[in-house]
Amino acid sequence: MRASCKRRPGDLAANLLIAVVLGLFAIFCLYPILYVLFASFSDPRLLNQHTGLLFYPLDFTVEGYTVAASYAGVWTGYLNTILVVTAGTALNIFMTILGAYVLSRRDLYLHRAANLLVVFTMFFNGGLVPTYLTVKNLGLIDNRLALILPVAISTWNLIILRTSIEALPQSLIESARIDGANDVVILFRIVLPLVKATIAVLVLYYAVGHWNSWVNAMLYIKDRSKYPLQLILREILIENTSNAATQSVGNLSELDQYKQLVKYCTTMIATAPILFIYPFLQKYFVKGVMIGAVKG
Amino acid sequence: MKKRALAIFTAAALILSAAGCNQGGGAASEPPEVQEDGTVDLTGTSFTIWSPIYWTGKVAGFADNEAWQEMQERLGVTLTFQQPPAGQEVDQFNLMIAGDDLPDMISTGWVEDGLFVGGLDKYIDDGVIVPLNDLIEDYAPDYKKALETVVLPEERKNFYTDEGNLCGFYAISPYEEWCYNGLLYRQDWMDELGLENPKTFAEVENVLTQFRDQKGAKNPLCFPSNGIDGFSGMFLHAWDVGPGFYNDNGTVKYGPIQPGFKEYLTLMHDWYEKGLIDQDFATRDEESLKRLMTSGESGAVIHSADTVGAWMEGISTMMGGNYVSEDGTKEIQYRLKTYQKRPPFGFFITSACESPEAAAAFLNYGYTEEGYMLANYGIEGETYELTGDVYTYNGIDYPAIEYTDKMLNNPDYPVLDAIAKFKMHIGPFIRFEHEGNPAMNMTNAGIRQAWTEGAGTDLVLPPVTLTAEEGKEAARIQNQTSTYQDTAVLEFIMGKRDLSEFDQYVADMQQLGIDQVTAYYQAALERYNSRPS
Amino acid sequence: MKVLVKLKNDIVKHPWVYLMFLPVAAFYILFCYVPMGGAVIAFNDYSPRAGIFGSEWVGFKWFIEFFRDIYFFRLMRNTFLLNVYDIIIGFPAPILIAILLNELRARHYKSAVQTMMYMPNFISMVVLCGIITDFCITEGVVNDVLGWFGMEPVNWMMEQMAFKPIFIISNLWQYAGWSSIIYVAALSGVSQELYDAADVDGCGRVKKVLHVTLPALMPTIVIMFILRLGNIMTVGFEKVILLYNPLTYETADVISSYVYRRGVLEANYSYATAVGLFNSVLNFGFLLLANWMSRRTTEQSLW
Repeated sequence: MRASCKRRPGDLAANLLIAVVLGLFAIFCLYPILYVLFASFSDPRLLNQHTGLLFYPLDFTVEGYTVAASYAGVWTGYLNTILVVTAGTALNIFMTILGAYVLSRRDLYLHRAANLLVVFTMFFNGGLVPTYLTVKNLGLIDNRLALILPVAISTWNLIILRTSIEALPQSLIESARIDGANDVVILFRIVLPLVKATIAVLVLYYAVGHWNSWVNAMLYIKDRSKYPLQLILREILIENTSNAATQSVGNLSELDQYKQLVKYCTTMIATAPILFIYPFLQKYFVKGVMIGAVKG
Repeated sequence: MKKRALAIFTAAALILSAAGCNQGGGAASEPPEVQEDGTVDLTGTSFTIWSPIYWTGKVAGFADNEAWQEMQERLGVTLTFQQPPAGQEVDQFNLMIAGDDLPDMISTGWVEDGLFVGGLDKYIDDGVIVPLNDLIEDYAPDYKKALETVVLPEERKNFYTDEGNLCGFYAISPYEEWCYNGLLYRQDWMDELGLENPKTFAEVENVLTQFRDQKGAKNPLCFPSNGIDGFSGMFLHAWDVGPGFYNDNGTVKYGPIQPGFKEYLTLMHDWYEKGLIDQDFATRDEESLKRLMTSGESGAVIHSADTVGAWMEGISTMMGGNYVSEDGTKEIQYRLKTYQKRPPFGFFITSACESPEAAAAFLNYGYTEEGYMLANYGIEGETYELTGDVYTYNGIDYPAIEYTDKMLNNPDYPVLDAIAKFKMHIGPFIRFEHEGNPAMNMTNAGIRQAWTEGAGTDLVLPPVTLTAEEGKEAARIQNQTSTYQDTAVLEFIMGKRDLSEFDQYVADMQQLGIDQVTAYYQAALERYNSRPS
Repeated sequence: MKVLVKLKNDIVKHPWVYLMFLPVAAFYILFCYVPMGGAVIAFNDYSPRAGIFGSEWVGFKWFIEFFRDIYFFRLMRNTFLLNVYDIIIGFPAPILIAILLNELRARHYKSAVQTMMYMPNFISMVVLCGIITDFCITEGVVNDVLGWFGMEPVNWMMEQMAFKPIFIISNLWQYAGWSSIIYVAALSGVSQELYDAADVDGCGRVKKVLHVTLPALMPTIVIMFILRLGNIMTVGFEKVILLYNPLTYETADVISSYVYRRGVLEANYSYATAVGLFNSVLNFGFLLLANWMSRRTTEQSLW
């Protein structure tokens, strides 16, 4: 808008209105995390008695974090999670790029059948037990690869990338082919730079997916020292619902006073790092990285 | 074309999955030799144990527990623990069996329901676990002796299945552990208002009214969110009705369709209308209850004495409520029976175990004096000292102890973590919970003891087992009945549905098949009664 | 065999492409199609020990059991309606947010706003639903606000007619910002020249949105819409069971929450698989329909 704007009188007002509307919604959205943050620094007893909104910590204290940090598995959980997020996302992106590019090629024989077979997997699967047996037969039980390989591609993400590749002008790819480039060159030199923004989105989706996932670890990992952070967090959250085990242990004062607080602290510990991934990816969302790629 | 591709894929799937289902069992090896003193030398053996842990803290699992470590050292055994994430025990258990990933031993923790669905006999028939009836003769003499002497005679049936199999090494308690759930009032309010512990409904109503009027309690009584206290059957038992299936002199009945249940609903509806019961009780979770109690919005609750005692620390102690009835003299015959489950945890030897004999000999250790001292108290001189006194329960000597600071005042391990670190809470041993639990709070112990002694258990259904077929059909019916019942009960109490429709509600429940489920439980009770004892 | 010959010719023609596809195909075969045979447990009485193919065959027993359940129609209705409302309200919201963000000039403000908007996506469901409940109970903020208009406080969590609005509106809060990211990314591909050209043509702001921004988003919108319709019979049980109670079952109980409650009584994998399969067939049907319509009208297709 820099160059050509003749500002109309209504423009400023509209800008302001948009900024305010989005800002209000953003604040509304920010609130839950603030709530958890304030709660995590609160005094456990006051927190237990509190009802309604929180706008500041109730009597600032870091006690909850001290307790949460002493939980077995929190720190190894961090390391495990970081390992899985890094390796997993790298593999995801690589596989998704390959798949999306090939499936976007309408000139290939069986193009439609292959796409249909891929989409089909979004709806039909064998369920818990057979998937477990497959992983077991591959010898991946208790191996971190079991957290990466069975989720190497998300079909949903594959379709998103395929859609943006399909939206690229075919002429670009054609002219490269005429220049003698093979498919590997076309994909990595020409196609990828043009879909950078979509790939940034996928990095975000995949990384967050790995960060938040616990189901596969629950199924396939037996060694508690390999548990990811989310599984530890989940155990802590679940324990907040009382059960026969904790109710009959005797006087639980320490645990019980801190239960709620620890829940919030662990949530903060487990969430804060991933909250800030977006700003790092944001530069890929800058306008004008490519020329008119709007499908006509 | 699509079809063919699909056909090929499916065929491949069939082959590969089928290949995964071959079932291997452990190769049997020579049984170990029993020495002259009746013990078995286990040096050099190793076992894998699958065991839920149910609560986490500073201690990651049994591998980090010093009592388990000491036990391995003393016996020369190496243990590998597989401990599923809290809350995922059932899925893990089923996958383990489906995937034929059996460890040498499987333990159930507190919540046996969901594991071994359909009864232990089925798992013996399926070759998952091995029966122990003969094994314990030679290899686990102390366990055998404990079953014969320590176990209360009326509890003995609980250790055997309908077909007479002994399946596991169960924790054995020589006495009934105190129940933990009941009615609690705020002691300070009771004192300030000069109120006695109520015995009749009218007195309870008076207490709640005073809480509301004198203490400003907006919601005097916290109420279970589904309208029925399933643990202790609170209030309902005044009409000789249980909260679910109960045993009326050998006949199984379902509480929420009995005439007495209508009386219960009438009273609760009355209290609700008067504002004595929490107006929003249907939407409360554990944290809301905690808030209601600690903020003074409520002054009475039906809950665990220990849990509420912990919430209220620094605010007020709690008074354990009497069992109440219309005239205050009725003998209550239904309450929480902590050991109403077969001792809640057991260790089972699987068919994958190479030497069930060695495993039995290993599990026997917790029933020897040396073994149960270690399990209950930890290591002598480290976590406890002997006082010289000896308790005797059912013919078993039990040296009295005092815990050291390592257990009670450990800066690195607050008492709950200390339990997980230095002693066994879940395990195969003779369990002296009242003496051995360092976290047992004496005030709460008094409340729990009074609750236990304050009511009989004639109406309580013993731990019967449904067969696999009965269980499936019962699940189908009960999903519909409980969906219907849960809504109806809340509507009756809140006055959204008039109690004149109670008969219609009962007819609907019967239409949905509740009587069929009752019949299953009746059959199960009869099988239970005819177990050899 | 004609197929194989043609395929061979194609492989010779594009060796690189097929080489690239090899790991992808391996993934789909190994982790999706091989386990798919397990769906047969929907037709037998699965017992872990007898195995997937060794368990007793029961045909359509579990399906019939589900169809005959007295709550079948209520569950179908609630599941379907929750999705329809969510599509009407929840689907356009992220598009609107992306368009508004696109109109925002101040870059730092824009990035701050965006980061804040996607945060609820990261807070665990238990915590979020706790906050939602706090808002809606008798002492909650919602009643404070309604009190200004003279309304009596109500526990909205116990009101049947309030469940769906609470569910849908809180969905907006949880996911609208996060879902807008894909549209923001799509817009980053739009050339500035197009806007400049529209300026030259004297287009106003609204017109530019209609003629430049929206068309640029269209391929993404269409695909997302098809995929969304392919989930029309899916409602995750976690949020439902955290927000409902027996008083609101009438409007809140969905297929997944009902099956979940049954699972608490007994882990019946066959029944759960049968219901899941029934759901998938419906979902896939809607997807086929949506895809067919899309191919007719926009020439976009999932395959």
